[in-house]
This record gives sequence, C-alpha cells and structure tokens, in this order.
Amino acid sequence: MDKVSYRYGNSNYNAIDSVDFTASHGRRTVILGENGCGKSTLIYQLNGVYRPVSGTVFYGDMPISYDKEFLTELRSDVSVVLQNPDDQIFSSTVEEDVAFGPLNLGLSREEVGERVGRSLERVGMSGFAEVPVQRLSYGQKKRVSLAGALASNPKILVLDEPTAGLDPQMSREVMEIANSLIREGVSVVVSTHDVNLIYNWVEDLYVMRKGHMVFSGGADEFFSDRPSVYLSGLEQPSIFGINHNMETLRGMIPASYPKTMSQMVSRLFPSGSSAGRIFIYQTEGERIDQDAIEEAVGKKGMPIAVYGPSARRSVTRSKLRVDFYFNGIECCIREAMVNHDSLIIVDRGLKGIVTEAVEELRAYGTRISIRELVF
Amino acid sequence: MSAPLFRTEGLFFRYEGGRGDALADVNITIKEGARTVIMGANGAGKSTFFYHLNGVLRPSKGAVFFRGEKIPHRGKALRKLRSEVAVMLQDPNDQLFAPKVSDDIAFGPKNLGLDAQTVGERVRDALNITGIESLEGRSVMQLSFGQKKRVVLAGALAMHPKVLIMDEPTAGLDPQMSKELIELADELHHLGTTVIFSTHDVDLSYSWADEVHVLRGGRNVYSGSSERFYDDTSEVYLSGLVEPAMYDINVSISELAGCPVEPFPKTLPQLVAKAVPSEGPGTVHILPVEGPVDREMFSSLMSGPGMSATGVYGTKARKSAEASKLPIDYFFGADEGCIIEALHGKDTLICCDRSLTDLLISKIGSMSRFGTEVPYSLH
Repeated sequence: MDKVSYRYGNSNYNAIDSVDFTASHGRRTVILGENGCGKSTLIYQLNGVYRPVSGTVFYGDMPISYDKEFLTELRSDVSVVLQNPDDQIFSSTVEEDVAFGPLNLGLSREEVGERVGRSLERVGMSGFAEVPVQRLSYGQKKRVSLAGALASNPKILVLDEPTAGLDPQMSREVMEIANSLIREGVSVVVSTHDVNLIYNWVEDLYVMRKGHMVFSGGADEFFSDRPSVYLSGLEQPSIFGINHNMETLRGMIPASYPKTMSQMVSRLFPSGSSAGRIFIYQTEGERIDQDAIEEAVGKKGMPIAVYGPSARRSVTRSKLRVDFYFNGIECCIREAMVNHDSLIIVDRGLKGIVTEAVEELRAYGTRISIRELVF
Repeated sequence: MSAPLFRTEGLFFRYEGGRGDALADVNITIKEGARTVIMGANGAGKSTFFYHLNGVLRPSKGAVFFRGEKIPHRGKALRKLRSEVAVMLQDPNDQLFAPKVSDDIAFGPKNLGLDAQTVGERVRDALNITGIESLEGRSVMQLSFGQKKRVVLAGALAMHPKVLIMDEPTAGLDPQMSKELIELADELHHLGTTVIFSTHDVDLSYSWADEVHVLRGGRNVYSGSSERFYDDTSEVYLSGLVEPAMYDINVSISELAGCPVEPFPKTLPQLVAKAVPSEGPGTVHILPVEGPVDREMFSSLMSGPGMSATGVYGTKARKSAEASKLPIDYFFGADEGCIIEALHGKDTLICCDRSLTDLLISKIGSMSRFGTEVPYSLH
C-alpha cells in the first residue's frame, strides 16, 4: 500500500491519510491501534471494497484495477473476517454460509462439501452444519465467519479484531488456528488493540493513530517508547513491562526481550539443562491409546497438554484426561523447567511449533529435550 | 465491611421458551464494601444474575435479598431500589433513549422527582466525573461506542446510587479507556459506592477484586479469593477462563526461586518488588488537590533532585492539572507508574484528590508486604 488515503462520503477529513503498509508473504503482520484510528478502513482497502481517494494499493506487483475480473481474483485470494460476525453471515444455516465463498469460486459440489467440512472442523464447529445461524451465540458466529473465510483457501487471511467479545479460551484457540495457517504458507494480518494477544505472535508491527501510520517495525522498539505507546491509546504488554522493570532493577539490559512467560522466567532463573522432557505425539484426530503411550515412555500419570483442533478431537474421542487444554506448549515448557516430564498431543504438521518454542528458549538459558512418540 | 449487601438463596431462572435454566441454584452473598467481580465465560449467566439485583427479572424459584429485604418487583419499593442500585449494561445502545446526551443523563434524576436545579447540578457533576462535559449538547447517535459507555455511566452516577453494577464494563474499550474506567470505579468505591462488575477479562479481575464469584452454565461454582480459584486448574478450564498473567508468573517464579507463592502480587510493582527487592527506593511525593493545583508548591517539589516523573490521581486532580497545563507524565495509572519509578530509586510527584489520598497511601503501603517499603511524603 503506497500513500493511500481514504475519505468516507459524508466526511470532511481522511479516515486514513497517506498510509504505507506492506503485508509480506508468510509473515505474521499486526495493525495495532485504539478504536477509531482507521484499522478497519485500512483493511477494506486490502480486498478492494474501498477504493482510495489517492495513493495505490498493490496486490503482488500489480496495482489493484477495481474491475470485476481483478476484484474476483483478489477476493478469492484475500479473505477478510470482520469484527462483528453479524456483518458477514447472511445464509440461514451454518453449512450454507460457509459454502457461500467456495460456491462463488465455481468449485464442484463435492469439492465445496469437502472444504466446508474441513473448515468447520478446524474451528471446532463440526456438529453445527445444519444449525440455523440465528440460534448461534456470538462466539459461535465468530467461528462460523472464520470457517467461511478458510473455506475459500485464501493466500492471505485478514482478521479484524479476531478476539473482541470472545472469552479467553476461545481467543487462544483463534490464535492457534492463525498459527497453523501460517505454517501452511498463508499470510495472516491481524488488527487489534489487544497488546498482550499479539506480543508473542507478531513479526511485522504497524501502529496507527488518528488515521496515520505512526510506526512500522519490531514490537520491542515500539513498546520501549512509552510516550508513543501512551499517545496511541495503548499500553505495554505485561510480559514486556515485567521484563523491562525486573532487568533494569537487576542492572541488566532488558533486551533480548522475552515474548512468553517461560522465556521471561527462564531469563530470571536460567535452569540450564532441564531434567524434564517433553514428549510429542502427532495426531490427525484418531483415537489415542493412553496405555500404549505411557508404556512407550515408561511412566504413568504424566501431565498431558493439547495443541490444535485435531488434537482436541483426539483426546475427546479417546476420553483422555487432559491437564492443559490451552496454552499447551507454554504449560509443558514450564513443567520441564521444574523438572517434570509431560506429553503434548499436537495436530500432524504442528510439531514444528513445539520444537521452535523449545529452540527459542535456549537463548534464555534453558535447554529442554524433546522426544517424538511414533507408533 | 462484611455485612451482606445482596444475598441470593437457591435462585433459579428460566427465560420464557428457554431450553434450560439460565440460573440454577445460585447462592451468592455480596458483601457491602467488598470489591466484587462476577466471572464466567459468555453465556454463563452473568447478565441474567445482574438483572435480578435490580428487580428487572423475577426469580423462577428462590429469592434475592438487598440488605436483608426481599427484592421488590413493583411500585414505590421497586423505584426506590432502582434509585439505589444502578446498572450499566454491556451494550450502551440498549440503555440510551433520549436523543441528546444531557437529556439522557437527566432522565433518572428527573424520575426521582428532583427539582430542575438539583437535576441540573447532578447532570453537571456526572458529566464532570466521567470527563465528558464537551459532549453535553451532542446527539447520542453521533457518539462512538466508548463515549456512549461514558454517557450511560454518567446517567447511572447522576442517580447517586449506593451500588453501581457494571456488566462487562471494558468490553469493546481500548486499553487506556479501560484503565480510566477502572480507576474511576476505584475512586467511586473508595468514596462509598459499592462497585460490582462482571467480566471475562481475568487480568482485570485479578488486579481489582477482593472477592470473585464464578458462574458456569448458570451455576455458582466458586466464591472467594481469586488466588484460591486459579489454584484449581480444572475448574478454571471448565469455566472457560485462563489464569491471569500475574498469577501465572508469580507461581512460576516462586517455584523456580524456591520461595513461597504467598503473598500473591496483584499488580506489576508488587510482582517486581517480590522478584527483585529494591535497594534504595525513591520517594513518592503526594500533593493533595482540592480546586486548582498549587503551582508554586508543584514547581518547588518538581525542582527537587532525583525527581523523575509526575502523575495525577483522581478525577478532580486530573481536571485541574489539565486546566493549568502542568507537565504530567502519568495521566492514568499514576499509582502503579510512580511506585515502579520508586522501585528504580527515582522520586515522583503525584497530584492527588484530597479525598483519595488515603487510598493512594494504602496502595503505596501494600508494597511492604512484597519486601520493599516505598517511602512517601504528604505535602
């Protein structure tokens, strides 16, 4: 996006003014700012719903041309999930609504059905295909609108305030889904004012204030500038604030900034080579035999964590006792830091998220060994 | 402090045509003066519970008591209850009726039968404390979500309620506005209005509440201190909640450092002090304010060596600091901000509403439980 300005019809000022913004391939991009700063207006430029009054929006190297052909292609690649699901859900049943996008792409009935099933499963709404939309709660509607976006197999997924109005567990699930999409090569753009939600997630941070882009770069650089954070109506993420204060008090430099609780704790109390191990089991949603797992590990009663929708399905199917339903990776790492073994059940393909988290922890003075269980 | 304000006894409620009980066998006692939070996931029954406290809904079974008396559902007694117990709904659009801001705020006091002059005064005071004087003549339709929320709050405060109930007060607000609102709740609570709110924001609730009541599927599954609730991980999971960051970090640090988890830090300065005791903390200078800030005093304190930041605490102090264009670093969160500066050995100056000085002092005093005595000086 190059120097883009947009003005609403009845307004006498620009809702966004000369804004530069780039969402790069395969990156985790965040647009941060208080209510009314222009985040949603910016998002509507990305799928060509609004046409800038000046400046240019590029898709790849191509300036958007706003003809029917271009826009159809653009919108099949760029899915936007709006903040309020009621603005997005039109059909009468869940299934019809999720099928809307893929049907418009001219896919076969069979292909559409397959995509709808997969998307609903991903957002944990499998049993709801036939349910009338108006019977759903706000959180369920939010999941359905996300499923609708996923069903188009977008290259870029844009989430406007994805966790607004959701309770904390559901918010974490949404971010898990975003993480797994990234691993499949989808670029994800999130707009929000929730600094804690995005602090350990964001790679490219953009901050808006009153229609202007006031910052682009790394999160730590932005949050170190307290007056700017304050002027933007935001606050420092808790981990950032805690780390910053504790390290300066200990006479240490706050960088490299830990992003998760385990990194921060490890920085304060490096535990070296940890005696606790993390066992990983990858699943596609099939039943899991707890006895077989415990036999393979040679140990009974380890804490069990899950990460990802298929993993959740597996444990429900096999009636496994789960200790950590949410934040599973963090929980296992913390168990290891206090010398306890644990098991994490993850979706096939998401093992890398666990190994990366453990790998990153080395920089903060803690080494944990990981074993994958294969049957 | 411990007299029951509200008490529900075997409270059941089912909406007409509802498939199940929205509330089932809820037994909750809310104490007078206790900072109370009702927690639970979406759909747990928090709003339905609140509608019973001001007599909007009538229990299907069981009873609700306000100061020992059964809650009325009609006539003069109900009007009296509503004048004492104000409720601020989650969505301000459900609550704003008059086209103009000032008319909407005046609606409640007028209904109390107050004369025009008193109504006018109350509207002015309410606009003032919520910081929306500039919106007085505006049309409600033109306001943003956050502004509408403040208008509803002003309308509630204009009733001079004894109890203020807020349903998800920070939902949809950005972080600074949330902070403002909670600081205002703190202030009202200190000045004698019992404030009760519901939220699923675990961090907010953890830092604020003396006592939490947790609802799950219409049932009251926990009442008591926050830390004891979060100790029960499976109940936290079943209730759709997660552990607050402060709680989690304290537990991890305590385990690794081999120190007791108690006392539980609830704020950033408390946590920092517990983990890294400060060697030579700085002094928090408190300048009580009533009316305009004493500029001379302010400047002379400011020029002290080691002075690093200034803040305001309380609505009135904030107003006068703004009016006299004083250089202020912490317009909100000055209590925590300045205590943090003190931990770093720096002196700070807080302009504080005279009526709130003891609240501020008790916050500073709470630091000694976490290993650092933060000195203060009252001017």
